[in-house]
Amino acid sequence: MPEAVVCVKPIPDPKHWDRLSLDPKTGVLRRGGIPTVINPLDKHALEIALQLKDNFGWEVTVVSMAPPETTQTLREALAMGADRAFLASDRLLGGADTLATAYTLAGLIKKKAPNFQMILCGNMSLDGSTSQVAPQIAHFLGVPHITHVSKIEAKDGITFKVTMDLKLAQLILEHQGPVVLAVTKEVNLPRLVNIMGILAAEKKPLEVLSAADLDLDLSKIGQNGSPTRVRNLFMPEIKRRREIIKGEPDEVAEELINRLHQVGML
Amino acid sequence: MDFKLSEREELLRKSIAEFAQREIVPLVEEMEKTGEFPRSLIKKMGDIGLLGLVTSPEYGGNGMGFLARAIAIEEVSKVSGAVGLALQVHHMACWPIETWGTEEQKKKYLPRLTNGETLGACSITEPSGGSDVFGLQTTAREEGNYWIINGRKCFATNSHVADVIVTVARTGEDEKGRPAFSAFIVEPSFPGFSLGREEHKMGFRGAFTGELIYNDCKVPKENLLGKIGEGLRIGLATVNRVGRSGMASVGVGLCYASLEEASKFAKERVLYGKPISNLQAIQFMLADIFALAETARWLTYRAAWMMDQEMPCDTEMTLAKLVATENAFQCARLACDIHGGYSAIQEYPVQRYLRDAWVSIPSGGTSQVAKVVLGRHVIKNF
Repeated sequence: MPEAVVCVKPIPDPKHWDRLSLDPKTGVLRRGGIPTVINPLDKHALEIALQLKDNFGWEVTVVSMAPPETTQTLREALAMGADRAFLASDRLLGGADTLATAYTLAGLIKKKAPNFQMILCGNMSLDGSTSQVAPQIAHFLGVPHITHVSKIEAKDGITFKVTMDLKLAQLILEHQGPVVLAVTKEVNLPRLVNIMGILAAEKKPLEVLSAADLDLDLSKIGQNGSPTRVRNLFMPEIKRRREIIKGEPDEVAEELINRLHQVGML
Repeated sequence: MDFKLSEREELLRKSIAEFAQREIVPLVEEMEKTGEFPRSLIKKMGDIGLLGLVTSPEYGGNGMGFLARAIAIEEVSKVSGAVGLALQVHHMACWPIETWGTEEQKKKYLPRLTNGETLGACSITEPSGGSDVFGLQTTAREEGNYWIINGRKCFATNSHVADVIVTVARTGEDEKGRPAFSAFIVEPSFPGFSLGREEHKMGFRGAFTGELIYNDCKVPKENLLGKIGEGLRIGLATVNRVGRSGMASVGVGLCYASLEEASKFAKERVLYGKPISNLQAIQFMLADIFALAETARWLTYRAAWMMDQEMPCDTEMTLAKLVATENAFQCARLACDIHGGYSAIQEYPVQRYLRDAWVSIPSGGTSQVAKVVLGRHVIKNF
C-alpha cells in the first residue's frame, strides 16, 4: 500500500503562551511547565494522510525529532489513526536549526519509510514560524515540494489536484509521484481523538531512534551541524503612543489615513 | 501510592477537553435558553466513546472504567454541567444492565446505549420518596407474559430524551414483611408509558429532568433486571457507585471551571491601575478555590480508582459526592465574588456554575443524607 509520512512537531501549548518568558541572560525560553501539544497545522497534515488511509487504504507513518518526553504527542497522532510513529531523539540532535532538523527528518524517512508516496507537514510551526523545514526535507530527499497547500483532491489516490494559496492568487497544480506538501489550516478540519483510538494507539509501534540508529553524518546534525545560529532572542517592547489630531473632520480623517499609511497599517 | 495519571488518562483528558470545546461549547447558550438537551450531541458523544466508558467492548463500550469516567465527566462538566449530568445518568442505565442483565438484555440494549443511538436513564425517585426508599409507591405485578407497572417517577434525568430506562418498583414483600422491589428495563414505546411534566430548573439547564408515568404499563417479562426482589440492591448500588461518583465528577468539573474563570478574570480586571490578581484579598479567594477544587478532585479520583479495583467504596463515593458538590458551590460563590457585579451578567459563566452547583447538591441524595451515611460509618469504624 502507498505510504504517507507526516512530520509532527511538539510545541508548547499556545493556550499557555502568556506563561512563556525569556531568560534575559541566556536568551533561553522559559517554558515553565507548559504542556506540549502537536503543532496545530501538523494535525491538518495528519488529517490528509488519514483520509488517504480511509479512502484508499494508505498506510500512515508519523515522524518527529524531539526530546524523548514528547512521546505522548506521537501517541496522540497514533490515537488519531496513524499506523506507526518514529521519534528521532538524541542529545546530539539538540540545538538544530531548520537545515539540521530537515536533514535529520529526511534521514529518518530514508531509514524507516523509504517508499513514501507523500510527505505531509504543517506549513509552519507556531513556535518557530520559519516554514523552511518542509522544502528542506524535499531537498534532502530529492523530491518536489508544494507549500501553502489549502486544498487537496485525490480522485483516484494516484493523481492529486493541489491548490497552493498565494493570498493574491491560487495556483492549482496536478501531481503524481512522491512529493512533500506543506498545508495550511484551510485544508481541512482535523478529526478528534476518540477513546477507541486511544486504546488502539497503545498497541501501535512507537520507536525512539538515536542519531547512530539513523546513520547520520554527525557534522550535519544538532547545533554543530547548524549553519545558522540564534544571535539574540528578545521580547519586543510594546509601547502605546497617543496623538490627538486636531482640525476639521475631513482634514482629520485625511490626516489619519496618511498616518496609518505611513506606519503600514493600511 | 501513585498519584500520576497514566499516558492513557492524560490523553483521554486532552481529547475530551477538545471534544467539549468543539462540540459542546457552541450549544451551551441555546441549552440555557430552551432547557432542552441537544439530541444531535448524543451521536457525537457515542462516536467519541463517552457513552461506553463503563461498558465492556463485547457490548460496544470501551471499558475504560471509573477513573477514566471521572476524568471525562470532569472535562465535559467544565464546559457544561448539564451535559455532564446527562452523561453520568446515562451510565447509570448502562452499568446495572451489564452488571445484572441477562446476556439477551446486554446484547439488546448496551450497543444502542454506547453507539450514540440513544441515551439511558435511571429513575428511582418518586414524589413519596427517593432517599426514603421504602416510601416508593410504584408497583409491578405479573400478568401473563408482562409485568404491569403503575406509578409515577419524578426528578428523572434524561426523562424526555432517553429510550432505555432502568427503574425500580414494588413487587411484593420480603420475609420480614418489608416492601420488596424489583428492577426493570423500560422503553418509552411500551404501552401505558407516558412522559409527565418537564421541570424548569434554575441550574443544569439543557439536561432534561421530568416525570415518567406508568399507567398499567406493559413491560415484557424478559425485561426484569436481575432477580425478583433484587431491585433495591440494584438501585442503591447504582446510585451509590455510579450516580454519586458521577455527581462528584460533575462537581469537580464545576470547581475547575470556577477556578479557571476566576483566575482569568482576576488577571484581566484592572482596578487602581493594576490587575486585581495583585491584591492579596483576591489571591486568598483564588487559593481557597484551588484548595476546594483539588480536595474534590482527589477524593473523587480515589473513589473511582477503588471502584476500578473492585474494592468496597460506597463510603468513599458518598464522601466524594458530598465534598465535590458542596465545594463546587463554594468555588462558584468565590468566583462570583471575584467577578463582583459582572457575576450577575449572563455573558459571564460563573453565574451558571453557581446555579449548576446548587442543583448538583441534592442530585443523587442531599448533603444531609450523605452525612447520615458518613456519620453512621464514623460511629461504626472509629
